[in-house]
Amino acid sequence: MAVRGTVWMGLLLLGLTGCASVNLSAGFPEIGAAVEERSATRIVWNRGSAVDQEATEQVRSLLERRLTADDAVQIAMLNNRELQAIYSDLGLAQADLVQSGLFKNPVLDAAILFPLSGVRPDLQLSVVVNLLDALYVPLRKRVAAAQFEEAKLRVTGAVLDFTAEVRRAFYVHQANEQMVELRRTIVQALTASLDVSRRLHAAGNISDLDLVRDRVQAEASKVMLRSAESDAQQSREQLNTLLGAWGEDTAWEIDGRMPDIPAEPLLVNGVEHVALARSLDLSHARQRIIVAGQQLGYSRASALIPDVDLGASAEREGGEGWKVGPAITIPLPLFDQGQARIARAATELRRAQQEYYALGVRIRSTARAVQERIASARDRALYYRDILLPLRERIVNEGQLHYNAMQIGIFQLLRDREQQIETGVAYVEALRDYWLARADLAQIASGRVPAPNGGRVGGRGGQMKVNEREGH
Amino acid sequence: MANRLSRRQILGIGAGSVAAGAAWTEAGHSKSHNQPPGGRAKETGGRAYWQESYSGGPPNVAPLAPGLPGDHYKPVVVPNGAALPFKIVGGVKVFHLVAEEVDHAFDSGLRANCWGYNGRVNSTVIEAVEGERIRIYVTNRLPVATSVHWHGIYLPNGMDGVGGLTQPYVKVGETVKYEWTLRQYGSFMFHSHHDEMTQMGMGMIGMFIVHPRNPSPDYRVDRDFSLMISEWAVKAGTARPNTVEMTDFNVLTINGKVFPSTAPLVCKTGDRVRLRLGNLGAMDHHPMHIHGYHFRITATDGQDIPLSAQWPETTVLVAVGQTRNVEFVADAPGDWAFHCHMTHHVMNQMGHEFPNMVGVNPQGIDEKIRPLLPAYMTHGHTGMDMGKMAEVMPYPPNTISMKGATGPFGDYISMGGLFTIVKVRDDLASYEGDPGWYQQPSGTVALKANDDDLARDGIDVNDGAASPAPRSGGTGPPAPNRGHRH
Repeated sequence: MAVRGTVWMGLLLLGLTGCASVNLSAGFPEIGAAVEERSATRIVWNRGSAVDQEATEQVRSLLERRLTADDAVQIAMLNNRELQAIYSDLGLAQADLVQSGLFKNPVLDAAILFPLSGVRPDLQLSVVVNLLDALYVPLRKRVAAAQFEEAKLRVTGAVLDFTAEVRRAFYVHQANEQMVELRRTIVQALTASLDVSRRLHAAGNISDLDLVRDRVQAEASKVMLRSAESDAQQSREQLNTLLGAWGEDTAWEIDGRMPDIPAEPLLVNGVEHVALARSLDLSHARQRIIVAGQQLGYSRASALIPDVDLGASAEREGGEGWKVGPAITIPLPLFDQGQARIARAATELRRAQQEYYALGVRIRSTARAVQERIASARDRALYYRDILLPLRERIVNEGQLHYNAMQIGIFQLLRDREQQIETGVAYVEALRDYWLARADLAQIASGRVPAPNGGRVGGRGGQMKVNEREGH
Repeated sequence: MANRLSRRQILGIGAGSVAAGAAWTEAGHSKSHNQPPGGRAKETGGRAYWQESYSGGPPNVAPLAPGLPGDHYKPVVVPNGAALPFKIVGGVKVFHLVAEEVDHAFDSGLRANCWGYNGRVNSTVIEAVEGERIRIYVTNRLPVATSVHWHGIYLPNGMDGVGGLTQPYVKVGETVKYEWTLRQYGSFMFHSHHDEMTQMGMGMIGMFIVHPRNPSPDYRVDRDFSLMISEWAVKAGTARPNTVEMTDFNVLTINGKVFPSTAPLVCKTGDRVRLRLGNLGAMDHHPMHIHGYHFRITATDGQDIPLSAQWPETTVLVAVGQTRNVEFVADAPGDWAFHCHMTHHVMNQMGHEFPNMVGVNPQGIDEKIRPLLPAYMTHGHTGMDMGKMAEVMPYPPNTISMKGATGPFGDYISMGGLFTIVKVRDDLASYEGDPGWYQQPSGTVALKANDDDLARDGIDVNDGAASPAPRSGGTGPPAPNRGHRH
């Protein structure tokens, strides 16, 4: 009996010690695959291996060339440490998952009593194992597994958001660099105009007042240039942060011109449906409903009797033989019947359900808004490119003829040129709006939804029907 | 008094008879050349005298036979224009005046959509003879109603042509008949008298020349030119006169042309010359100036001026709405400029928004501006004379700004607008066409002085006082002009 009982107990204990090792990179390959599928970008988790060396080499060689938006995204993926830090969430979630699968350790109770009168001591031995763990561990594991899934979704989403952010920062910077160039040309034009004014003044042909009026124009244009330079510097630093670049890595240069508007308009069939189908956020919210459901099940199951300790105790009193018998500890649910925990879990579930619904509504309108922003920016940019800029150019060219015929002077000619460049500024702004909206659309396509005004919100999963016949 | 009675009797005689013609001549011609006008001078209260009639007397006079060119008058010369043809129907001279849109060329490089008469702008002349009855049909092919006023002419009130006042409008597509007997002679005009600002600004003006019946020998000239002056606003690159413009007129024409398209006034040495000048421009009077001669101002659109009152002048002011006859004997051969002396009136399509560049140092401007405007070239710093460049530089379409013509010495005649040339020649095969440039006899042209002359006359060209040093470009205002230093 004693032997048999002890053997049985031993086997039980052995059975309860599961495979308890922790694999920290669990889930990362899945994330890598998801990111690659959704945004055509390779990610690497930097943990001091040979792979890291390879990534560093790649970053270096990318920084050598004039960067495109895609290059910038790839560099950031490989080189940004914030992103690397985010990957640690996976390790943490994995650790939680392993933890959840572990039984509570059995408790060995041993006491020895030496009688003052007798010769032989009394021995008391008891091994107590939490009996209900056997029932609850699978439940706990299910919760933790769901949480692990949630963590994977969260990390994937963060990576995709990050790529969109890099893309947006890149276009903002590219536009800013073009602005600097345009503002510099305006300064050049107005400075030339001022130079001629000074000569007229020196010849006695215009008054001090006229000269000061001309000068104020030229000087004001320099302030605009300074602002533009500062904007470009700021957006460059924003990009440096995202690229994870410092030191000599900050010497990168980018393509001087934003890509032109593609010849064919982008056709997205049923953008709302696509956005919902692809949305990672929606999966994430669904996952939260599952987790909350599991949590509720667990709470219900463990409400009345959260802990039952089952054990065996053995006793040998002095001079007598061993006495062996089972022992059990059960809390009596007189005061806490778990009703609060159940109610809490149920509320969590209801909240997750409402959030899921609200997110769906938001994704739909964001998708529609982004589509409209693309169409509008496209129309505006094309209008500037095909109508207004050629008209401005014609004004300058026709003005030159009128200047030749001495109908207008050099000042009018330079003013027309300035107006032409200002129209160029407006064009660059429209082009920038277009590519920012396109970055938002790409974010939607990758399964994340940007804010309606082009910030960050979330994602999704599914197939995107994009008619991308784009001539560059 | 007796004079007036006899005149009335004469005018009562039936039309067309020789006797009447003669009588007319006597009466009519009593007012002509170098005679005091009809009516006796009465010294009363400081006033010289009142004429008997200021309107040619009673309107219903019996007309004389129509006058014919060659027989009764020597036709005027209309440079760049023509006299309106006529026919005689039942003793009446009949004209057909057509008001219509005309695609008009001010010059080879400048055309505009104008309005005019019988396919011409400013240069259709109606020519008639004192005493004849004329009938003028006016057909309106314009897109708007019009009317024709016979400027300076005595006629029945209902023939005066003031739209809305003396007659209904000549509506679009309508033909209206004007008819009266001419009871005067002189240089007159005709023009639209409905929405004048628009219609005259678009070109609805012309000269109306009436020759005297049986003129005295004094009236006869060898060259009798009819010149109508007008002004237009045709902005560079446009092709329609802007009739709303009130000050900025940039195209100034003689018979609808600007120099170098103004046909020269060709004369033989010794010719008696009459210039009949009319001005129906919108806002500007023109002091027309002749070189090499003086002329006498012999007539206005009212009357001949008695010899004792004629002004010897080199410049005659022709105000808006006036005609002036000037006469001279062309006894000095040469190419003599005849032009308005308002300097802005001898420019073609001057732009008035060009900054004052005169005296500006151009050095280095082009290099600064060409990166922004590759076709830029500084000009204006030596003035407005672009010379031949004005004809080769790319201009807006339909623009002749700064245009003049290359002269006999290869240099550019930097004038346009109200500028023409009286070409007087000893030998002249024909008055038709252009005899070319005048060849001055050797030694009679202002040329670069040679060293011998300078030495002989003690001219030191390097004498500092002769050429004050140019002001170097400072920053302050220019020094006040202290007068000439020569």
